Amino acid sequence: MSLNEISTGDVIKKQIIYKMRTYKGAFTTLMFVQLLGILFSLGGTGSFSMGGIYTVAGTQYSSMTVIIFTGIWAFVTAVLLTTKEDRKHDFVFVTNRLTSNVSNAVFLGIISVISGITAILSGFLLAVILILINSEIILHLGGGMYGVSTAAAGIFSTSLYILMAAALGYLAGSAVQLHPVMKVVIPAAFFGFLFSGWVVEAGPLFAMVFLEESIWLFLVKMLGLAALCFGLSAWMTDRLEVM
Amino acid sequence: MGATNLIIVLGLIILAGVFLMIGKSQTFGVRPGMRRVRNFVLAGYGAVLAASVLIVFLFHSGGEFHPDDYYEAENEALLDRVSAGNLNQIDEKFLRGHYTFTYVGNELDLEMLMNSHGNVSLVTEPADGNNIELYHFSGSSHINGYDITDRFEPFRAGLNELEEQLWVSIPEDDRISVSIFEAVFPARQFADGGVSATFYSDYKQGPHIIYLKIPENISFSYETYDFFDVTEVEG
Amino acid sequence: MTTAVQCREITKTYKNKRALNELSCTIEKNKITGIIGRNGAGKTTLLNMIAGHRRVTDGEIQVFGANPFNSLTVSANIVFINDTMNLPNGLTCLEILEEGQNFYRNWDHELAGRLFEYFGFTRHDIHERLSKGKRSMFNAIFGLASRSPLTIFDEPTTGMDEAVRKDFYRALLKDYIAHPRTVLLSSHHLSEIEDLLEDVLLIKNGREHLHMPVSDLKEYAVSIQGSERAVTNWLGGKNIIARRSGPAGRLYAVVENTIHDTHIKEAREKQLDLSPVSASDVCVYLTDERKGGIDDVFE
Repeated sequence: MSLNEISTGDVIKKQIIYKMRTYKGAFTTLMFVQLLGILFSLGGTGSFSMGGIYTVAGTQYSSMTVIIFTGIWAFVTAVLLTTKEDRKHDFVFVTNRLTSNVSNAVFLGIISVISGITAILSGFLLAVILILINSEIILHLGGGMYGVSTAAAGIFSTSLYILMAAALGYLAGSAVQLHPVMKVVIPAAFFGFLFSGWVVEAGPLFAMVFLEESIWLFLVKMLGLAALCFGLSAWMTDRLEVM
Repeated sequence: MGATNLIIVLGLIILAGVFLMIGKSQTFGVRPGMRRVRNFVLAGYGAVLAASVLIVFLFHSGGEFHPDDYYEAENEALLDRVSAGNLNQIDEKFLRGHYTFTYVGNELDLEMLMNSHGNVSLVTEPADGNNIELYHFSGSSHINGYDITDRFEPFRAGLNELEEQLWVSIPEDDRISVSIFEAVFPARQFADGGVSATFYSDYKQGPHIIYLKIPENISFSYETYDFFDVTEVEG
Repeated sequence: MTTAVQCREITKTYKNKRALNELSCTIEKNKITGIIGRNGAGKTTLLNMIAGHRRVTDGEIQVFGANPFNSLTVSANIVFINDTMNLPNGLTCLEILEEGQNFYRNWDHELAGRLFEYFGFTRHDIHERLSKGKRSMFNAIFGLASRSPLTIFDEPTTGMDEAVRKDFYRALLKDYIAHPRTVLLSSHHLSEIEDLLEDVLLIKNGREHLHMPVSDLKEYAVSIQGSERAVTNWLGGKNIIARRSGPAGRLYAVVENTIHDTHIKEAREKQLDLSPVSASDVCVYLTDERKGGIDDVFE
């Protein structure tokens, strides 16, 4: 029997199709998560009151909660992809560690876009619900800076934020696979960073990356960071054994 | 932001539960029967989302939007016209209240019963006869460019003949509640104002003007500190 | 190239346990080789390394001329079926077979479908919810249908009942004859697969102990039984594999089959019972680490 040669690109393509099929359940979870986000958003994400002769009291509603929840979903989904069980599944079929990591990264990219779209669209669902229960709503839509192109920009940036969450999840998950002690180290580092003063000091750095005002620079920064995370994960797990 | 944090923490706890139940096992909806249900539910979710977008874009006008300078120009024009006494040139949308009183006394005090001062201008115009006319004009006001001018209830006004007082007070309903919605808030950082525009709402209240037509034979007095600006229009 | 797998002094250490210890072997193409050994001898570790799932600590391993670890070519030409195999449970069993068709170029989907039906699987079945025996059978179908140039079955029949086991071995043999390929089959009991095998690789304590055709293994040893004195005399100078004390001064021993006619004659004269030892018994005796046997524990 002669040997079959197979190209890396071909395998990656097949693995992506396979992953899209086998992880369909993740989209059910996504739907639950986003509906939950909408539920929480009904109370408003912020409020303000401004004086003068008349007081203007406003409640701000936004898709922020939905987007944050979606980001957490992407993080967890990425962590699940790195678990021993799921890595083993790749090895049932044709793979090596590189194609497995690359197809995971592409798969996470695809679901980031899908979930970015649904996250922004579920913001509109929230709007419809608010219109129904609240007649006094002022919508930031349909005019000015909130036209269709703004919605597109929203989807664009949200997808990139979600991809970032997924990439970080993948990195964290890969680190845990490398050594179980990371299960303790990563959360400890995270909360330590959060509650020590460092998070404030690092604030401008985060702002520089995440609050980039140029849409193209933002794309470059986010894709660069995500690629860094995935690359680091691939490098770390390239010698990992499948058990 | 306290409420937001609480929401996030609660959300995290529930999310963790959701993932423990259905995230890991992935068996949720794998049986072909369940899978049909799942596909149906997912398709339904997609359809609802698409319908929401259509409803919002096609059937709901989110209030009139204009840039900031539009409102400024409108308010300047209003002030110009009011100061010149050209009431007939003023758009009806600025007129909040109009009262007419008949007064036979000689002296009259204007009493402002306001909880804050400074944003009200007074314009007086000598008139014939015994009728006092009081107009309340409110300039254009907006939140983030969305017109809320028509939300203002008119000032209340009344005549106290015994004490020779004309009083003006803020309406009982002096609170305007608005809901501000941003379906696509992450896009704000790319918009004008950049990041600084991201998490703030901009509220600009137009000037309030009391326009009084007051008979010439009445000696009229008021406290100047009640007003931002006082103008007398020639009769 | 006639070599499918070549191992040169490979060693595998886990933390502080040595699973393989300088094992060397060469497995030829288009043969069915049985990997035989006791529990913990290192069979699964060896197969894991051939499949590229694990790394060698020391030594060199080559599958189709390449290091299997991270080799896409090796992965495309190998299927590795084992009893702890985890299949994605986001898919039904039938869909897993469809995925197999996508990935493996030689995949025979018609065969997969026929076996799937024959063994009573339905399109609603989910791997995780199958019984142990059925799960093993499904894995076996996957392995057979893939028609991989190197097909590895590590304890494929765990949990299967007798009838299904026989069916599986028969299916393997038929498909192998129709489409010859390199098959590695591990088991701890040789008896049920010895008719299937061409070669046997016996592993003991992480090392190769024997590697020979089954036909040779069947004639590898003979047993001798009789009174203790007579047997002991007869044994002089021979290569003893095992020795058991029987009841009332009798002795049972297994020796390497290097005997000549004179030995046979001698045995007959002394009324010793000389008989062949089956291949599977040879393996049991060869891999027995304890002196004596279980009987000695009770004495």
